[in-house]
Amino acid sequence: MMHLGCGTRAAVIVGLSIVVAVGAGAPAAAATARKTRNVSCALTLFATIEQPAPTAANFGSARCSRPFGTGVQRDSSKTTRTSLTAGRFTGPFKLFFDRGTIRGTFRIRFVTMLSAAYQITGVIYQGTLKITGGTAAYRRVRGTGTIAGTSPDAVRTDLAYRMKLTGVPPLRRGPR
Amino acid sequence: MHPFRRSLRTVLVASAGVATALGIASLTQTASGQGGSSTATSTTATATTNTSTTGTTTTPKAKPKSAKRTVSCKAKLYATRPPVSTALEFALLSCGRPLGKGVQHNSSTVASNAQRTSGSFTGRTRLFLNEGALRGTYKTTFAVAGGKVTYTGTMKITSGTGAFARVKGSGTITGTSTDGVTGALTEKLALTFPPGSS
Repeated sequence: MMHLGCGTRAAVIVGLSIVVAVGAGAPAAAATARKTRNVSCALTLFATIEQPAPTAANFGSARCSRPFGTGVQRDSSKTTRTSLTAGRFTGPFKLFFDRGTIRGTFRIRFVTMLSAAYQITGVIYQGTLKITGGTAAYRRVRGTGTIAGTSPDAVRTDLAYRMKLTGVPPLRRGPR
Repeated sequence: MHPFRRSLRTVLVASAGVATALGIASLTQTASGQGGSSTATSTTATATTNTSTTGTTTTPKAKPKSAKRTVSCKAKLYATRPPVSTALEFALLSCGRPLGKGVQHNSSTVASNAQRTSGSFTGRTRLFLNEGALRGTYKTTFAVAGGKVTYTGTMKITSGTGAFARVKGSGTITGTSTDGVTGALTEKLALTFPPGSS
């Protein structure tokens, strides 16, 4: 049996206990990062570039499920037309919330409905999005999702996001 | 002692020493808070007081003070509809440190004269930034002259979230617009950051 001095033994015990204590926090953080959460958002966007145009951009307010809450979106995109009344938008977007931001890219197909007098009577949107990063509390958020929505005039658009996200921090309780 | 036993003992003692040092370092780091909040410590003063019982001089830790900063923001404004009785606006924000870039969201009621050549916007504002958000109120007067709208007003920041929690302050708004829908504003904010914040 190896003999260690009293002081040496104490140092070993302190060292090992600290290592164990530090290591115990790691699985919890890893579990939070791996856990996939379903997050939905309802957005009302306003076009800042009148269509039809080769590019598009929007500002809008967002109301998302926990822990995100309310915020705003800013996006810009390239417009690719596949016909006179249909096409797709592809580009980056960023959602700003109280505790940070998430950013990513989207790809939306649109179909414009016209009246007999060639007036826009509505637009239908359907697409996908990818969350590639974030800031502050949402810096580890990643994921994918779907987009669906309509617009009565191609200026104001109501969209619904359904996302599957990882790295979402738990809801913080108490005063912010 | 067997040479192997001696080396094993050395390794154990060394690893315990390293682990202890790491533990102490991590605890010290946790106690000192996040690394980015260097500006708050710059305002910290060390006070010297005399104790009445012993007569000796001690130097207790002074309470960290809040930091006051003047931050200027450029806002590229976009009104979602022509402002008649109410206005809903978004703006692309570019602010000085520590706010950075973001998006501003204003909602207000509009009061104007019959000719709609002058009036005011009174409402709420939210500044969404990468590290948090600021909330407040604003009042801006506008005057139309020579095909240009001129804005002058004040803003009050009442609360914040994220990295800007408990930030308060006030400021001024100036700007112009050629069409009443898009505009360029400058916001100069005098903000008070709580101790330990950015």
